[in-house]
Amino acid sequence: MKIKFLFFVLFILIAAGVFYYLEAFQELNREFSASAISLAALISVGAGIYATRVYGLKSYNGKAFLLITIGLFFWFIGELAWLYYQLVLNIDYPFPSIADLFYILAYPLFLAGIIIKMKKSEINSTQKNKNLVLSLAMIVFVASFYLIAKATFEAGLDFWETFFNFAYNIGDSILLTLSFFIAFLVMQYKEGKLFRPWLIFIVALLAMFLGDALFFLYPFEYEQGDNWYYVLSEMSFVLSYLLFSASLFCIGSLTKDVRESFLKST
Amino acid sequence: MKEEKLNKICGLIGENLGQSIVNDYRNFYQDKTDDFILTSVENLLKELIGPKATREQLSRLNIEK
Repeated sequence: MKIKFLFFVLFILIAAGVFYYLEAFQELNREFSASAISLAALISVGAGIYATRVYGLKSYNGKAFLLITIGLFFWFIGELAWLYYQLVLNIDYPFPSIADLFYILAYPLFLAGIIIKMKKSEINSTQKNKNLVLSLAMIVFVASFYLIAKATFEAGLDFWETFFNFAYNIGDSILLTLSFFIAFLVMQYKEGKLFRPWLIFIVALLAMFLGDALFFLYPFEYEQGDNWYYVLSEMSFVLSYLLFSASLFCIGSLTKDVRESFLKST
Repeated sequence: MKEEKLNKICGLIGENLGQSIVNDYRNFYQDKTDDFILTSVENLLKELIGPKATREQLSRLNIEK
């Protein structure tokens, strides 16, 4: 399994590297970028379905993974809608659009999935740790609220642009808070096989947060496209979906390996 | 092992290893001793979720060796 895991991580790094090269050093091609992101999102949905099937819907783990997978599916639909605007309608920067509705819908599903996972796992964290995480989340929320408000008003955005900017701000603060809470889970799983996949899940959440943050903090640069902010933002999205895929696939695969190898050995 | 205890153990296995495998484990544990079952579940969970989380989960079941 270790070799499979290393192979998977290597594949993700190569895929992200190729994407980075094509984005950074070739002529700007938004359709390529949106297609690559959509494909990566689709892979993550497949990995989510796999993890859900391994646990089954009667278990809390299965329910948690189902919600996360539906969240990833909404993101995938959002990516497809974004691609449709660019490829068919020839709109380079479709924001705000119907795609944003699907992006936003994914956040509560992720939240619900992780809450089920954390609650049923009854992660043993002290009140002090919980307060620390909530304080950090509040600081991030207020700081990003301020930065996005500043960028929004300086750019003179309309109602829907402003609305979605702030909706994403709340959603991304949720992602960040979730990643802090999953860190408790990861600490509990130390020395277990699920330790690394959950660690990857945290990195995936953080990569999504980074991609979103760059998108909202540098709207003009993103719209323009031929600069580092755009490349880094798009790269973060691809990387995030690939890491979600790796994490969910490994969680399912490792769990299956452990249960089956035990029965075989007996 | 009493049915009630075995149900608890199988519930734990289902949550951590997936529902589809529970019956296989139930059949396998049916004629085993308490000590064997608890040691085996402990080892299984340790491999997957590590010793700390395993201790937590087993202590919540309130089953002693």
